[in-house]
Amino acid sequence: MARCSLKNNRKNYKKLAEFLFSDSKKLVLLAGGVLLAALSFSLFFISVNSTIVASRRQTAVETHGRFLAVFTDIDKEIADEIMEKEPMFDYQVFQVQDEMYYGSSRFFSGWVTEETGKNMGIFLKEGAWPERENEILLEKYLAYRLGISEFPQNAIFMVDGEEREYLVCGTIRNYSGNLVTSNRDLNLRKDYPSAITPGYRENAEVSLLILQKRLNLGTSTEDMYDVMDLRNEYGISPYFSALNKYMDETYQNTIDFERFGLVYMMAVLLVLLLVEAVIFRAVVLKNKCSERSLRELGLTKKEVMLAYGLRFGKVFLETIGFQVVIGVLWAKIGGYLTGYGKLLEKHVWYTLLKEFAVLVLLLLILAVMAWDRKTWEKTADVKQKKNSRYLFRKLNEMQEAYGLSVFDIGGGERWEEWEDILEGEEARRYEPLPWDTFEVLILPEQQYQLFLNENGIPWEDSPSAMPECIMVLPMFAEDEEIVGVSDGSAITVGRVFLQDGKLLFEKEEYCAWKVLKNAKGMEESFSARCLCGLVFSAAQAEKSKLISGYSHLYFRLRGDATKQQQEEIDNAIAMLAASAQGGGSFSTIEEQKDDALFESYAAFMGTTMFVFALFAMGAFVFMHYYVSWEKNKYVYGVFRSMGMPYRTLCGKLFVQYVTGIVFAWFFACYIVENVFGYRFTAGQVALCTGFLLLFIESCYAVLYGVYKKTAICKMLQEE
Amino acid sequence: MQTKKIILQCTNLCKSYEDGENQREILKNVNLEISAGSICQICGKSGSGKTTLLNLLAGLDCATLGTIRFSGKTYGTMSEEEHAKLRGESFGFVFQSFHLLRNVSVEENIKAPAYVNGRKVDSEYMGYLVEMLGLKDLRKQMVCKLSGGEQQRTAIARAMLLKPQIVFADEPTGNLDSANTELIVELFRKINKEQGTTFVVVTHEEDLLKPCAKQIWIKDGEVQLEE
Repeated sequence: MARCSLKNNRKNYKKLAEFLFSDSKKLVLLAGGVLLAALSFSLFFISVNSTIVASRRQTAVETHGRFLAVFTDIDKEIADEIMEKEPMFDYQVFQVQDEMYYGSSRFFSGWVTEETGKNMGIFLKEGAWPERENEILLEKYLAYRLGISEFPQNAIFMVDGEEREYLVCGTIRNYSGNLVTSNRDLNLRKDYPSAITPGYRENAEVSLLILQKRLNLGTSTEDMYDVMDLRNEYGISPYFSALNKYMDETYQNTIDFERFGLVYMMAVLLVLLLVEAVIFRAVVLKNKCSERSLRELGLTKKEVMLAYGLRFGKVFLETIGFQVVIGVLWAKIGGYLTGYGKLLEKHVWYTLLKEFAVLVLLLLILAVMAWDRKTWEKTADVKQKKNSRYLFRKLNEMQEAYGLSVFDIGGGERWEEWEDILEGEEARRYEPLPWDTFEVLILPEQQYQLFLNENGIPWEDSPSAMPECIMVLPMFAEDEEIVGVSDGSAITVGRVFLQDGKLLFEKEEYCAWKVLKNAKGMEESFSARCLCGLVFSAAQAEKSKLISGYSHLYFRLRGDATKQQQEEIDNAIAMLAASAQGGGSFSTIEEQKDDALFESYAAFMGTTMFVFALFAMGAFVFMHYYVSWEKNKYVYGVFRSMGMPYRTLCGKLFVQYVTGIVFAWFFACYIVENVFGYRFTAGQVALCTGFLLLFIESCYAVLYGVYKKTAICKMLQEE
Repeated sequence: MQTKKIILQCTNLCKSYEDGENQREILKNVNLEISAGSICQICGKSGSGKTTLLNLLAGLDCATLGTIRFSGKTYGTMSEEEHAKLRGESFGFVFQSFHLLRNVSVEENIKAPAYVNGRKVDSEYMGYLVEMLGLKDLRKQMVCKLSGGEQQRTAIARAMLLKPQIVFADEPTGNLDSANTELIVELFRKINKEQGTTFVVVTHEEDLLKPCAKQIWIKDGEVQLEE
């Protein structure tokens, strides 16, 4: 009788698969269950991970705006030329217009549309955007300082020496810190408005806001370099946005989490595929008798494998179907429970797509590996990535200090004009320094004493009325005599400044108590371009007329400070920052919250990974032992019949597996060190190895009991 | 007449398996004694329980009831390690499907019991075995490339390497043609005669080892006849 061809007969294949799997229903269920568990685990985890990352970035953009840089007060023609020349950016304009006074408080008004304001980080806090000519919108803290708390409210401001009445129609959030990464001289320039008025002036200069076409924090550094090229070409100094801050703190931290999410997913799915492969092998072994019988009946190996493939394919598709259902439920319920709503929903879909893509990719890789051993060797050749960042490196660096930039002294950008003011002999007495090469550092007393100690300078109380400082001249060789400057010399520092439309020169004498080439212990406080630096103690700085404040103020909270105290100080700092235009303050409370969130998130990730690793390792050990036992029980039976005790056999198997797993663990350490740049300590390695051995030993203790009762004759039977 | 020493003895031996809710009795109260240096043939039809009996006698399976004693040692009181030691030192096995290590050479297969038991191979004796069993030219061959008869001779050489007191053979000629069957039987007789090794052979061919010291007939798990 002719054999019925299976090629075009699905029913026959179905029946065949039933025969083959008659003894393995539990294993098939296990395969589906493991697949579903791992996919769901990965889905929950990665979708939440991506949502948190996206949410943090969104919050950062909403807080700081989304622009790259600002060219302030430039001609409209130049603005048009720049916009035409560099079409890779988007541009928006605003104007800084009048110098205004309210009592003794000075600030600038300007014109900004609400849309542009959002890109700059100027968000309406109370009231409405000004529309009529006499309406004005004030910075929140400026309004607070001026004592204006209800809106709308009339207030009289001085503009160009005249009193003018405005209707204060609301407040905007203080955004001073958003504009600057360097606060130098900002108090002397019209860089941004603290009050918004509705009138655009056709013939006035404009400020150009430079934006990425599509917000991409990953390329913002490169884009800033392009802005720098524009600066060099047009000789205009841009102010960069706080993108720098959130690029460093939000983007760089979250990119680790983003990458980790993908690596984690790949690791989970790879382990899953290994477990699935072991289960598949177990099924094949368990059914080898049925398979043999069917092959004796005339089936080819290919047809048998196809039947296996169809059955597992069915399980795979059913599980994927379940996974999609779980995904839909999780998107809806999770969005509601976590409060992330649509954002989580979006990321659930992304994660599902990523999961399937990674799964298909891994399957393809495994298929290629199975098909061609050479390809396997190529794939397994993991390229080392040097200088890679390791994960979570910043998490434990809890910052306690408030960094508050106020303003410092210096010639300002008008230093080149000094010769216009000083003439003849007077002019020849001074050596001009570019404004950005002269730096002043003021240290609290305690820190100043430490600085002196580090530089081998004995502490002495000085009765001198002249402010004393330590002079740092990094560009001069130690053995080179600097004309006119030596320990104890008097130095004169002057600056050019604008007052009531007039350029004025102001100078002051200091005593350079010591002249140093390097400021040991304070090297990082001076920039690379610094030609001359002065280090003052706080007490000495107070004697100076030119030094109007600290360059940086640090408030270090005591460890036992309560949250309420932190909040009070946080508010006080914010007020102080707002009162000094251009000042930026970073809230330690926010930073601590961020750190705490990321720390607990990292701990959560670590724990889930640990649990999953244990689960996967347990499943792998059990299933692999089962497969190995089924496959080799005949040989084990032969050995036992020759006199090998069961305990010895199990001991040998244990050593064999442990060697493999421990080797894999050390290999993983090597990979982690070379790819992620993280080196485990000897203690960590020893602890993990010990735990690994204990865990495998526990698995084997269970397996030892399970197989102990197997009679040798049973082990020899199947062959 | 000199009475031969009883090397293997079983009393009221029973073996049953659970078959769903029922117990399926394979062996029922089997009593027998095997003398040292004899050849004992256990015969019976397929499914009569002869292989089960051999497995129990060889310690490859556990009896449900009854006792088995080998050289004065009772199986039931021995630990798994002691059983293993007994198998390694005193027993040899020959099976119908040879149970050789497939991807290993003839020589390595023969030496395997020495490796397992941590004993040194007696090269001279091994040479003698190989010569006697006609495996001299096949020593380096992989067993998977050998014929059935050659494989069975290899299995016999392996079983004999550590000079066991007793060899258990389960259908040793079941997969062989008549010429090879005759050869194997002759080898058993020769070894038995030269070395005094006891043979317990399970077969369904009643005339295989005739004349032999003892022939036991089993039917439905019970000893029907002892000759």
